[in-house]
Amino acid sequence: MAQESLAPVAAITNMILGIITILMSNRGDSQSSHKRFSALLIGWTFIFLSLYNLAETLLVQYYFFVAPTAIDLGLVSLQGITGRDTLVLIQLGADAALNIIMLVMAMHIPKDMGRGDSWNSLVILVITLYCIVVPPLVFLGGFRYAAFQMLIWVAVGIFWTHTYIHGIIQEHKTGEEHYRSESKASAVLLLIWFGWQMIWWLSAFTFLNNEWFVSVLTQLETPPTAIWLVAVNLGWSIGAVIICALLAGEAFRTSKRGLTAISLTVFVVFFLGFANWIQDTLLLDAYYSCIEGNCETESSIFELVNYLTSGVLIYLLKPLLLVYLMVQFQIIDTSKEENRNLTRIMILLILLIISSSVIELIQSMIPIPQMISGSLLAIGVIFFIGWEEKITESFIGSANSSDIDSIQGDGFNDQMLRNTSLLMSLLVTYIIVLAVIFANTGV
Amino acid sequence: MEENPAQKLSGFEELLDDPTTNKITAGLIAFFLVFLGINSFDLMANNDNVRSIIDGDSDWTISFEEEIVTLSDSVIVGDGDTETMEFSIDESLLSDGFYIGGFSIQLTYTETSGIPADPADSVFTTLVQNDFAALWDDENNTKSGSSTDGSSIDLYLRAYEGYDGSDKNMTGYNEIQVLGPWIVSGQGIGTLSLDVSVETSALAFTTDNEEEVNITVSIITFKPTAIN
Repeated sequence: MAQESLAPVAAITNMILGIITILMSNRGDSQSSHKRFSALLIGWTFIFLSLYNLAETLLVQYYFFVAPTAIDLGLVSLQGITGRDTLVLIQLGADAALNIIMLVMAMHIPKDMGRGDSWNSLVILVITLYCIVVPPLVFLGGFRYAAFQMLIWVAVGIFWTHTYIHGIIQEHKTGEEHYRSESKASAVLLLIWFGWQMIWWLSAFTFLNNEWFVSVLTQLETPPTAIWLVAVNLGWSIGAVIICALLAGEAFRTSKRGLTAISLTVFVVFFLGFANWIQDTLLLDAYYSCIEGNCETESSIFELVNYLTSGVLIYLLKPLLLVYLMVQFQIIDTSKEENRNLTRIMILLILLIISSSVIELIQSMIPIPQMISGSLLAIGVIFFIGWEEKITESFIGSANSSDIDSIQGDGFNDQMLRNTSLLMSLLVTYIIVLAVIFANTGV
Repeated sequence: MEENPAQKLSGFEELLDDPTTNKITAGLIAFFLVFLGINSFDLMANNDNVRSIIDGDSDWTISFEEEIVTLSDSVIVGDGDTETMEFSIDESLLSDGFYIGGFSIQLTYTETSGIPADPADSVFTTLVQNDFAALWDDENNTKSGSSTDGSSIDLYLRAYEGYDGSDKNMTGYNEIQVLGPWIVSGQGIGTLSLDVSVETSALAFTTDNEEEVNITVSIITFKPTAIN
């Protein structure tokens, strides 16, 4: 019951979406410079995600399976195999870049926290310095230091959760639509960046994640430090707290104003926590097997549930929700005809790729003939082509004025925007070159 | 234009303008910190348990209690003929917790013609390699033998990888792990076959056209014990 990897799909999708988003941000002359900068941030998020997924794809194809948790917590080690080590270091570098971009994104979407050239210059400087300094520190100081970047997750998680609660409460008090836009954007951003951590909420509250982690602890040659063990728990703990806050907020709002797509998504992610908890409970013996008996091989049930929950959230829903965020809040200018075509490509691409990936996933689990899955995909393609106009319109048209106006800010001149793109390109190159150098020298 | 420093971070001010939200967020942060503390304490306790096992004494000695189970049979083989003898080996022959390490097979015969000064016949034997679960290519095996003077023929077939009766040093976190390689069932189970051929030697003007061969199969069984 082996599942096809979604990493190559995510690598290609994110690459295309990144290029399109960056192109569209450059064309959005009528947009506020703040929205253009936000689009650039999202565009480069796609590019770094693509770099991360590409390295992951090659690692899985030629060397070994590496879980996202292994990179976040620095559980990988160098083996002296240049190709493999280069890819691992690229993943660590891209992960660092994504962490700082997430922090900067929190300062800009949905609310622009600062104003003025100096603030904006500071933001760009922070991204640059972080990407230049942190990866070599992690490479030289030990991969487990990568786990301390979870502090950024906590800061961002609390920040967006506060924005979300602010929006929910203010909407309830004043009835003003734009507060819903604020809470909606925050919820979407939280789902994008923390969704895959949220699905372990019940396991976190019942300490089952710690039981699961015993299987990881048994494989550590050197004893972990206490502070690293705290860092390990940061991701799960903040994910659990966030999903509970989102659930409470959406349940409250649904009772007052009815169900929305965002509420439904939050409820589904919350429900997935039960599925993961059941899985963890069933596999508890396997987690302890390495110290209490013979180490058991990877469970196919674990792989299946993992793929259907965190896998789908990481690889497929993340780009989908980013596209939703850009279109719904008009971060990209969809009013221009030339951008409209790119928007169509973007929306259809993401929908088609998700459809085909889901069909492939189903096929890898249930032995349905390829003829049937091929036909289903063809039906999907025909549907998307036939209703392309309507689908695109439903995406673009669903953006209401309060959503569009909710993301505001200023201060970026054209030169600064151009420099941001140039800088990000250099950072991508820097991360790759750095990984090659460190892998060749054996660190 | 000079920027007003108060306006630079105005977004934060807007975000912190509602006391209810601030209180809820403060409560969430407090809950998060307490939850993180408890969770981390629990993980540290798990880690201490794991380290006490991993960093403890992981050297084990495996010793073996041995028991020999004997099967025997005899066959009369005609001059120039070959007979195939089969011994059915199943788990009912083994004591509880014992596994088959190997087989020691001995063929004996004496001159049975009854004619004084009749020379000993020649006996040849070969273990028949089939799907019988044994280590057929082990270098310690003796899979064939012969005798022309009435002496016994000894064969040996190893059934269990690495088993030679001597103590073994292993490393592992627990008894189950170190005993794992020594409790694989199914080895040496099946039908053990061997071909026995005879060529008689007779004095002039006498007749000696067959020989009785006795076969003793000693099943070497072992029970492993791990000592830390």
